[in-house]
Amino acid sequence: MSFVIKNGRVIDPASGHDGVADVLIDGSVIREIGRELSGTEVFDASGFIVAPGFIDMHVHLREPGFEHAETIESGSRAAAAGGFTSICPMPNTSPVNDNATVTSYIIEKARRHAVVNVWPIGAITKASAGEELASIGSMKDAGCVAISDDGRPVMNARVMRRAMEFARSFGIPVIDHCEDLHLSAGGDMHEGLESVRL
Amino acid sequence: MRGLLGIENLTREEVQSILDRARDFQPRGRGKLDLLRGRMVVNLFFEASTRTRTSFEIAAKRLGADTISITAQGSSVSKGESLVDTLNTLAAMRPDAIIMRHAASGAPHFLQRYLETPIINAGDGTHEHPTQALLDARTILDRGASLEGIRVAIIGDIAHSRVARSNVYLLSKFGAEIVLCGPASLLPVELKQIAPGVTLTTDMREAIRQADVIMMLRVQLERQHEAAFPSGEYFSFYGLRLEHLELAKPHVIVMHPGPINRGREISSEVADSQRSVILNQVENGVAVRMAVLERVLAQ
Repeated sequence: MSFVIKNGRVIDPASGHDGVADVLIDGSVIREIGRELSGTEVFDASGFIVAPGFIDMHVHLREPGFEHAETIESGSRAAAAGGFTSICPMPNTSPVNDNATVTSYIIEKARRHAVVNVWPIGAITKASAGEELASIGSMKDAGCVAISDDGRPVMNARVMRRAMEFARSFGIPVIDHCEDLHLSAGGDMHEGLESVRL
Repeated sequence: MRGLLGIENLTREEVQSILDRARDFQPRGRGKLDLLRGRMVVNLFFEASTRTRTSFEIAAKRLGADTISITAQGSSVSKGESLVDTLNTLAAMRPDAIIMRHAASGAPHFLQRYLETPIINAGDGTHEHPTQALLDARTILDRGASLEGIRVAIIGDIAHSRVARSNVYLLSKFGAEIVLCGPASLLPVELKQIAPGVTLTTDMREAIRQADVIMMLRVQLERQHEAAFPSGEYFSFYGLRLEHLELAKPHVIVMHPGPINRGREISSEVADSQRSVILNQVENGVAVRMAVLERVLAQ
């Protein structure tokens, strides 16, 4: 079955393409980008932007633990509506995604309910408490694509060093939220002329 | 040579001659030899040791020498003048050699500058453990023809291992291919510069592939001030299990300097398997130390 997205403004940074065109999709493969293409099914994208699926490296799906706020299913639908085909949920769920069991739960839930790719991010430290390294190797094997303690940043430089070294053994990136909460506590904005004026 | 401080500064010929002589001392009968009768060696251990201290003591006694053992563990003796004083005091009693282990890298090298009495290094910090490398080489040679061109995987806490360093120096002199493997936090990248023939990997399977020898190291928690890896993950990614042996050459041997921690760096199935030569290493420890003592005291 072929599918044509017609008359959209096709933007593809990888090939440098930016202009109105048709995109011919055959199964799961983009066969051709050109004009006057036809297929068994046609979507008129006049006035739309057509782009490769976006990847959001930093989302919060809130599941497990805070399903009243968001679920893997609802979050993934929101992503799809905005053009995102892959999303990386942060580990600040409850329990924290700091071991392979939680990772597997998220991946299994996503397999059943998500409409986009869900690539979990594991915690750097156990319970994101900043003290003891989480099970980084097993989480990677279970499907985590990176580690981060996100908004509970690792403030102990030695723990961070060990985390980065250990992550290197497994070829997994560390996504750092560079903030020292001792300094930023209670802060609303950068200290400067404007903050002083206010 | 005066004393034995490390492998690094020995020539290949010196190492070979110790290994050759050790073969003469490999146990056949139980007899006591007379070669060092009337000589006195002092065992001075500032750090815990069971096998090395016992092995040196047995080696000395088999050669007919007298030994005394001093355990300075927990004493307030530390580097610097007080350590020199301790050694000078012992040396003034005219022993023929002092065998010492110390937690500080370079301690015996430092002391040898001040002492006429030859010092045999039984392990200095994370630096060298020369007799361990010699007994390891003797054990490899008991099973194979040569060290040249063999592939040796050394796996575990490389950063803190004097066994790894002495083995690297020794094996490199004989043209072996040495793969050091461990989590990146325990595998300083600079190690590949310490001797020719060294490569590094954090992937245990890659290290073991086509290996002739697998040396497992204990994780030296006593030398770490905090966990360099997540608890519970060590065995999953760096513990030697039976399935790993299939990646190596069929005749692969598994070594470990001891003490082994079953279920941490090595599974019981491997430790007790036919491929394990861990007890042969201990046995060769005595023979190699006899060869070293004879050589040092012959001067």
